[in-house]
Amino acid sequence: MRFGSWRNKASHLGAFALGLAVAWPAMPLWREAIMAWHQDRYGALVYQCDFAMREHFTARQEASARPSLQAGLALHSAEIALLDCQDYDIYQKWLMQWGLREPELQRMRLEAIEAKASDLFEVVETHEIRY
Amino acid sequence: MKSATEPLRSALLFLALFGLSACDSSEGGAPAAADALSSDTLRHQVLRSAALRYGLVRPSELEIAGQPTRQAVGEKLFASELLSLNGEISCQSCHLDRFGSADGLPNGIGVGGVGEGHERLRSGGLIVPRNVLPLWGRGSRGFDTLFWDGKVQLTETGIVSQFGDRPPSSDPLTLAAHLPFVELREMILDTDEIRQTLATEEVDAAERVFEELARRVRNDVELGPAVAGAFRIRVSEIHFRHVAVAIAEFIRHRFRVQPTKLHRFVFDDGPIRQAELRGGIIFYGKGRCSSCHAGPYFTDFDFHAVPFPQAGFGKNGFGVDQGRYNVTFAPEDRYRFRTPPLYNVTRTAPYSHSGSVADLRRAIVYHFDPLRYMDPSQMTGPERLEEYRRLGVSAVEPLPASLSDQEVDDVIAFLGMLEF
Repeated sequence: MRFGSWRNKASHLGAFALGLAVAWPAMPLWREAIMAWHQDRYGALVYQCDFAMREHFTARQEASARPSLQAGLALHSAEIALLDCQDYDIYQKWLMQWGLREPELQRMRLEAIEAKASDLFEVVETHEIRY
Repeated sequence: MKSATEPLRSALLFLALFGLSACDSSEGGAPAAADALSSDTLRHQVLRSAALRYGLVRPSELEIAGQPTRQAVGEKLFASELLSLNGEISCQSCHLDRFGSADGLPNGIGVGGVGEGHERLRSGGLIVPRNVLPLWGRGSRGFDTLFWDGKVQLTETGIVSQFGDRPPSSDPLTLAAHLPFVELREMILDTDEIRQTLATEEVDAAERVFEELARRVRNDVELGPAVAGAFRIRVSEIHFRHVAVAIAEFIRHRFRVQPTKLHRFVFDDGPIRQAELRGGIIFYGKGRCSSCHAGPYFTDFDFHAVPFPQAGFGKNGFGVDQGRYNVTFAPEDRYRFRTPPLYNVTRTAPYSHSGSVADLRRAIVYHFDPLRYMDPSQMTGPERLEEYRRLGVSAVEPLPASLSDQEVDDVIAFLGMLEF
């Protein structure tokens, strides 16, 4: 029994050490995998929330500068559209639950923005006048 | 054996965890959700509130009570070819249950048409250059602007129509029920004789047609006594206005708005699926559909431009249809059409004033991304010119956000809630 207990302890310690050894390099890999898997969806939500906030700002300015029934309804639609930002927040917190930290999320946001930026670079490269 | 299975079990656990992370978990923020019933109380509340704010009411509030005897005789008149002056066509030829009270074709097929659907298209009948409108809600409370270009409209100063200051009725639907019977190609065969005697665009010419049709009804052994009985008059006293009133009463009753899944959700706490809910939030939110599709009939009864392509010859000829401009001659009304109501919209394809859009998905996409389906290289110069003009007018409309295909599907799911 004592012998068995000693062997159990040793095997538990060994498993713990092995777990640490695996987990230490595995954690970044895990985060990379999560990021790669969710980049498209998260990127779309980043865009949608940004768009919703911009539209809401514009609608609020319009309703303030030129109040009318139409402007009021447009503002109401823009407010409903802000639910996209709630979707974005929930999704982001959900990704954090799965191990992503702010630096990884920042990188995903940058990649979402740069996905558009790379299009722009292509356009500039194609159309810029070269002297 | 035990030691060999442990790593396998661990690997499976890892994969299961990763799989969980890859699946979407919540209705709102998380990725794709199965189309199960929704329990998102926040969005439920937002959708209910928006629907009410934009004018949804119980269908019973829209109903105008009619007389069953007139509705019954109206149904017979609706189906009678006796009311076509020189053709063999009835109202029912183009307003069929099978196609959601329209005809399922891009342009209407008037006199000479035989059969239904594509059979009718191939039958060689005369083309009426507009998409046949479904009849849902017509003549109910507040539904006072009729036809694509609003050529019959009840305004604060009275009824506006091509009858000028001699409207045959003060009720828009009854007045509208007069028009197909005197419309060349629609229910009158366009012949030299007709051109010389009746095609004068004068109210008196229309009156002559109405009198002839009323005479036929008086002489008909079934319709004459039925109309007289419904109006409690003698057969000899039947005028065409009795015919029009009966047809209008039938349309008002038969095609009245009835409770939909959306009504049950908003007023009776009925169930809603996740896709329908997402679509509803888009409809009233970033899609800005409710900017125009508002009110109890999902139309503002105003005139707007969407750059749908033109199918067929067009009301103005050679592929041109200037829409509301044909009624008002106001330059700002060019290419504008009345916002179509949305009840049963999933059943009334094809879409647009000329029926040029085959399915609802494309009809929605044309509102925010018309270039997606256009190929200018396949168009003639005049066609492109027309397209530029339509695009110019539509660009000042309240444009929605660019919706993904998934979001468009969600909006279609929401529109499915308007079926009855």
